[in-house]
Amino acid sequence: MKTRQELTLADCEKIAAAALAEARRNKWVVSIAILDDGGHLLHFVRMDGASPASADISVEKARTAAMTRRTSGMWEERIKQGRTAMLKMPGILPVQGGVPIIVDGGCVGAVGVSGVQSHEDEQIAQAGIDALLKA
Amino acid sequence: MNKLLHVVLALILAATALCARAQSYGPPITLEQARKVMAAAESEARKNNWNFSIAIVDTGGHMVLMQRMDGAFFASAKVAGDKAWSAAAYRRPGKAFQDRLATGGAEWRILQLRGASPIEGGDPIMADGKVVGAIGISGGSGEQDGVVARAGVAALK
Repeated sequence: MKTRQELTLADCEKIAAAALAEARRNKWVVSIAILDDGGHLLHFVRMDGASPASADISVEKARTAAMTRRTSGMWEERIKQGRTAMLKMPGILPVQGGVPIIVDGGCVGAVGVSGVQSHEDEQIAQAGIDALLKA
Repeated sequence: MNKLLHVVLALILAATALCARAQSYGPPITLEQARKVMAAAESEARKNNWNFSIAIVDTGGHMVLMQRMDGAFFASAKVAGDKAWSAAAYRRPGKAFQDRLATGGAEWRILQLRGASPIEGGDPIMADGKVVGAIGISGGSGEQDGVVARAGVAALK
């Protein structure tokens, strides 16, 4: 029988705290969403001043990463390289800032960030995941 | 005597309607305020060994803070958000809709109100007498959700 890893609330709090610290360190204001491997919300924080739109965008970036087990930035790249057909993929937001959380080769969820430039969003998401996995 | 009773009842109804109308939106809830509400709601849930989803939205119904406790079923994440949205958008608790719906007849129309969640467990969050956001809870019975929601709201009063 296979066993399945699952993010706990404590894990999510660790990710969110590190991501928030990374954002604050750079004086960035963002929304941070953490989803489980089914693409369902586990944890969410919107910093004061982050746009309402960033709330939904962060969730959709995370959903893209959780469901495809790839960064949302990877989808953005593929489309940039000319695979425009990928725009029709169901449930994909092809904008950098969503990163899957990979544990023992399996995806346990994803982090999505929105509010600043896309590569900065991804930097924040990655900082959150690193705090969990490299601790 | 009967007439007097009717007059009193009418006055009470009018006063309730006025109170409901007097509620207006204030500045949107800050993250710090939302954290206070979240902490109070979470501790109420933990005290009862309940594993729920808790969502807090601002005056536009947009999410500010959300967490799903270990073991809560995944639909609760969406339902908590829906309840919070409804409480913010209509500036009234889901319980108010639930009670009206229970009277039947014309009140069935509530089921057609856009985005309304006629289930206990969603409450407006007040600060200085104004609605600054709303909290939504899901994971237990409506009554249990309501207990946790009210504990959260009380943190800011």
